[in-house]
This record gives sequence, structure tokens and C-alpha cells, in this order.
Amino acid sequence: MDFRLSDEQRSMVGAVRDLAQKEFRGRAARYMDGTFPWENIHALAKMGVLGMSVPE
Amino acid sequence: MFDTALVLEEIAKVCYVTAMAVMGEVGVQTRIISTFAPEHVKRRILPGVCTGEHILAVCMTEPHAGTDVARYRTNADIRGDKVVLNGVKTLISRVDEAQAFVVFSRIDQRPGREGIGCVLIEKGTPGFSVTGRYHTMGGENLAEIRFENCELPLENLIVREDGFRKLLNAFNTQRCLNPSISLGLAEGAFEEAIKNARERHAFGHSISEFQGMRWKFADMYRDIEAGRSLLYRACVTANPFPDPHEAAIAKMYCNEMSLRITSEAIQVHGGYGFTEEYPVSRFYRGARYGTLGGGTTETLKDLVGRKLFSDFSEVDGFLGMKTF
Repeated sequence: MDFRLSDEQRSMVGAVRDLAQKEFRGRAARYMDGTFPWENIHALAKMGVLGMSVPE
Repeated sequence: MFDTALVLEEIAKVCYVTAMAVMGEVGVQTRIISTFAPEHVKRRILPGVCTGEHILAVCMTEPHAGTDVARYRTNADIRGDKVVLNGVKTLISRVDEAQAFVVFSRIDQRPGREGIGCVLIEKGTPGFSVTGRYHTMGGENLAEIRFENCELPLENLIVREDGFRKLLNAFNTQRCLNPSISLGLAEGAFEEAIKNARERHAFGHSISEFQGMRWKFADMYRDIEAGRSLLYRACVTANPFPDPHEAAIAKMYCNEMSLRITSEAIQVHGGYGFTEEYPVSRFYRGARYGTLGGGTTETLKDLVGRKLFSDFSEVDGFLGMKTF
């Protein structure tokens, strides 16, 4: 049983990490008052993340 | 599903609110539409979910019934080619942003858990109103919504027969996605803490040189990796939905582990950790959600405990449980 990520998974997670660390980190505090993180949602949509549960 | 969990984990290392919003879009409500809705409903709703234009909310909890699904009162009466929805749902996320709501509802007043199905209602439907608001310690807003004789087309009745079993399968997905956020919060807190420990000095030394601090980090790291093992193992059982018991123990462990780790991360920061200016306090607040949503820890312990007494064989032992 090996749970090490495939190269493809590692690359995908790396891309999300890059986006989250560079763009989401700096604005995380502003969502504590209930503001919806639209900018982050749109950035993730552009990356294809939001379609992950949707069949092709 | 494993890929979805990995993505949520990575987002949660930085922002709990965004991770929760994304879980909404890739979680149970989208999977219900993808799996059970008629083709033209999928085509109407799902493209917008992919582009981030369409936010989908899921409505389960009622003011008097959370875990006790059999006591749901929200009801959808089928009247010819229409469905009429009445009831109240509470603690609903993203009510202001969502265009459509996937509502777990009793169908034609059929009693018990077996009477539960699912309808889709779009915002702006006459009779739909927001009747209460809550702001959570994690940051996001929740709301209470009321349906008063909301008329829906029959195609919006997404799950009618055998609803509870079908919906529970979809819901088991949440039991891997929720803990992926807990795991991410713990990792994010750990990353902040280790950075802090390297930079902070006391008594002429970096605090990272103190044995007590090293032991603390070793414990944190061990607990995070244990959580990862349980969660990833549950995720790989998904075909398309995960094994309910493996998902349950992964959730139980990761939810409680994230509370311990985020608290320790604050401890490493000292007094600064208690302020809003340092991200660790946000991780700690967000982590508190885990044991409450997507199936409480108590419900999951009940599920696992029942399985143990029904399936654990004294002849085969752990081998017979077939988790490895």
C-alpha cells in the first residue's frame, strides 16, 4: 500500500500550493468578518479546481 | 475524490474560509446533482459551478434536528407536474452567494429516514426567504431559510425513491473532505509554528534548540502524519464513494487532531499566538468546525462501534475487518 502521490498529483497540489501561498495567504484575514472569498474562488475556477466533482 | 481532498488540504493550510467555500462547490451538493439529477438540470447548473459563477448550497440541518435526520419536517409534496416545498433549514452556508440550494426533504410526508429525498430550489423562487443569520467563530456566515409553499417543477425533485441510502453514499464523501480541511489547518498551523520557533530566541538560544520544543514538534508531526495516513487510506477506497467506516475513523481522528495541533501552534507562538494578527489563531478557530459538521464525532463513534460489535470476529480479528 503506497500513498505517495503520483507525479501528476504532486504537480497539481504544487500548483494549488503556489496559488494559495502567493495570493490567498495575504488576504485570508479579510474573510473573518463573513466576506465571501470571491477572488479566491475565481482563481481556483480558472485553474479547473471547481470542476473536479463534475463529470466531463 | 482523493484529488479533491488533496486540493482542499492545500487551501486549508492558508485559508479556512476559502477551503470551506470550495468544499461547498466540490462536495456533497455537486455530487448529488452530478449523480442523480436529470441531464438537462445538470447542464443548467453544473457549468456555472465549474466557472465559479454558480454557488450551490446544501440544506440539511433543521432548527430541531441535526444528526436526527428521521425527524426532518421540511416536506416536498408532489402535485402533478409540480412539487410544493415547505419547511425551515438552518446553519446553511453561503446563503447570500448561492444561486441554487440542494435541500434534503421529506417527500409526500413519508415518515422516518426512508421518507427523505432531495429537491433543488433556485434563489428567487416565491416563498423562499432568509429568516436568520449567524456569524461563526471560523469567519463565515450561516443563515436560517424558510420555504413557504415554494412551487418547483417536477424535474427539481432530484432524489425521490430510496433517498436516504443514496444521499448517505454521497454524504460519505463529505466525511473525507471535511477532515482534509482539518488536516490542512493542522499543517498550516505547524508551518507557522516551526517558522516561529526557528526565529524566536530565549535565554540566548533559538527556542528550536530546547528539547521540550523539539519533542513538541515531533509529537505534532507524528499526529499530522497519522491523520494523513488514515485520511488518504479512506480516500483511496472511493469508488465513487468512500468506505463509510474508514471515512468515519479518518474524520474522527483528523478533526480532533487539528484541535490539538492548532492549539499547540498557538502555544509555540506565546502571547502573539492569541492575537488576530498572527494566522495561527484563525487556524484554531476554523479547526473547531470539524467535529460538528458532516457528521458529529459522536455519530461516527456510534457508526464504528456498531460495526465492531456486528463484524469484529474473534477468529479473524483485525485481519477480518479488511482495512489492509
